[in-house]
Amino acid sequence: MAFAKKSRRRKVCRFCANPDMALTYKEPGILNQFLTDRGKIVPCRISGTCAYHQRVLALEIKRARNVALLPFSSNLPG
Amino acid sequence: MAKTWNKYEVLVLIDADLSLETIEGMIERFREIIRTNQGKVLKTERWGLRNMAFSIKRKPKAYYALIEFAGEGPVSTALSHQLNLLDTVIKFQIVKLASKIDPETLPEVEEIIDQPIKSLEEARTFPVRGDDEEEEEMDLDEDEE
Repeated sequence: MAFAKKSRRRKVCRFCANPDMALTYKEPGILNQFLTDRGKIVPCRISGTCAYHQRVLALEIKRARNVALLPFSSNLPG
Repeated sequence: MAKTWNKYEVLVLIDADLSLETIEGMIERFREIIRTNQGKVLKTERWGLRNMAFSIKRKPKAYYALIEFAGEGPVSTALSHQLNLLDTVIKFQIVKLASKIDPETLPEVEEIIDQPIKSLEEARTFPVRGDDEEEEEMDLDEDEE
């Protein structure tokens, strides 16, 4: 019971699966999906992004933060 | 040796308290700076008024303009120097898109993309490409060890 194995769908890198998905700082709507509620970058372990795209993603999120398209942090209660 | 150019783009955040004519004049001035430094303006995108994710210089919103240009290294240096001097520029960011470009291959015509967004309501619902695609919820519970 304690170790009931859940069947999980294998995570796929969304940028590899969909090459049309623009990975650029100019698309904060897409990048926002890879941020937590607090504005932190979601690790690839959770989002399933491949190593290459995670590197690009992190760079583009940081670029977007510089021009205030994305928050550095958001102070949500709790 | 043939001259090699680089391709850059600059995103400028302009003070939203200015009139649209003044902003338009400033965008034209940036393009002039690029041209006087032997650069070439490739594309101008006006994103319009947008809410910023956080306030910079105590301003909650800014007018965003994106200029894509090509030229030798000094163009971007000269442009960033000029932009630093202007008080009405809240912030700017120059990104190098490609290096070692042959200036002969650049397109002759300049592209102008207008997305005039004037009201704040419109700015909030700024159309983002690919946003309507599958909005997959990512499970954030860290249960993988």
